Amino acid sequence: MSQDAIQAQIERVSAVQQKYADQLMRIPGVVGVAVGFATKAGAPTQEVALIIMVQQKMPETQIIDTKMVLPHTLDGVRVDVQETGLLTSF
Amino acid sequence: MATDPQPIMQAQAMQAQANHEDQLLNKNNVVGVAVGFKESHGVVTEELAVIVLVQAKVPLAALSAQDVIPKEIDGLKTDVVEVGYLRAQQTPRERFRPVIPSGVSIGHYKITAGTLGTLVKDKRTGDVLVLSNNHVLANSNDALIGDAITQPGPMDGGGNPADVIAKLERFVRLRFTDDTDNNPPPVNPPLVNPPPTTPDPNATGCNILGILIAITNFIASLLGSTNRVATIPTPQTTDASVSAPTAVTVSAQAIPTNTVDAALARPVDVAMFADEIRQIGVVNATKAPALGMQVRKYGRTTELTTGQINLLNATVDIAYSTMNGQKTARFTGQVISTAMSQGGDSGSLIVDSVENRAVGLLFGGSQLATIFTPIDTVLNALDITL
Repeated sequence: MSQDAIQAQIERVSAVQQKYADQLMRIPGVVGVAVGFATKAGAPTQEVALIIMVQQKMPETQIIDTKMVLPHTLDGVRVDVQETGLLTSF
Repeated sequence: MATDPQPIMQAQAMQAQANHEDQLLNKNNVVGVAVGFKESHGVVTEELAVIVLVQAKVPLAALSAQDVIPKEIDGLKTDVVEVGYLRAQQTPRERFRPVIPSGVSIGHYKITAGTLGTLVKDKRTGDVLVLSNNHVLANSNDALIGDAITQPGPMDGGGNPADVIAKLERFVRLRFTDDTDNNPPPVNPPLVNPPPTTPDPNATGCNILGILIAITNFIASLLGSTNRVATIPTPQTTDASVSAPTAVTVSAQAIPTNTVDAALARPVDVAMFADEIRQIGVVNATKAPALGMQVRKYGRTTELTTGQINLLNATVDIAYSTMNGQKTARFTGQVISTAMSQGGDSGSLIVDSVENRAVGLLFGGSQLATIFTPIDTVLNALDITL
């Protein structure tokens, strides 16, 4: 994919990120939202996605309240959940 | 098996070295003498030689006769190897005098220790200043202009006034999530639970009220009524028709955001500072962070490390341990890389691995990630240049 195409995707995902950031940040366990390449089996793909950073990743099947399951897409943009742990100042 | 001739050869070589060592070390540019295999065109041969270590290789023509290294000594070949200037390896946690490079331990006299990021120039006055984080140089806001900055930082033995090398010049205040009302317990936003409505897809920037209501509805729908969220109070009584006061309440509770954790200190004596980062060198240009970019940093704790940028435009909540307890600060527009730092590396300059250009200012992370602010955001916030 060309740099321009990636840049266009980044801008599109950023807009969706901005729209939902506050809501997503209020979900317990969510420590951040950002733009990055979606990962598949731990390896980055070429698809720019909205990344939700969580303190600890959980299998969806273990989340009792289905409303707490993070979305897979938002406004047609792919959402990828990545575990970062608790973020602290260094 | 034939007798290995090597030990005998080695003894001979060492004897030759001993016979001529003082004489060799007296030559200009020679920093060491040893025994090793001779190298020929970059390939190690099997021939033992007296190895002469020099700071820099110099063409024969440029040497005075007495500084020329003989081709042979006591029948053994010599080999000249360039090793640069040799000195005892100092860790960045030590006291650096008379010259302080960037990348070493530094800190406000009341903190533990962080990293001296780099030297910068004040855009207005042209003065040379030291760049690091607010939580390194300004004790997470709990500091006064002119406060003492030590090298190394207090945790590494830096004392006030013996090790004071700079004074706090200015800083960008950190806005903590819980600061609006002096250290209250974490408060959850008041939630309204109006009749279900669909968020207005036509809501625009001017329809702030509509957006706020839509957001609030979304949250209410997220926070159901199961055990998992039972600890979160969900007032059910708010009348959605009283929309104006509700919106005001929500906006008053908006979480303050930050763009940088940065501060400047004024050197007590500029001449003490070397404008280069340990093991990285001089950095005087910038580069915007990009996905996949390879970066490195030199810092007080993990020293030289490399990483890759994975996330851009990040909004993140960062936990701070302050003298007033644990606080949280929300940042927008940040960059996240693979893990390449630990506590004490804060303030390190993030530099791109290819062109040695400044990309960001490190200030936090976890075992899985490192967080930094794009360099342009830092320079603009403090009105400085590299």
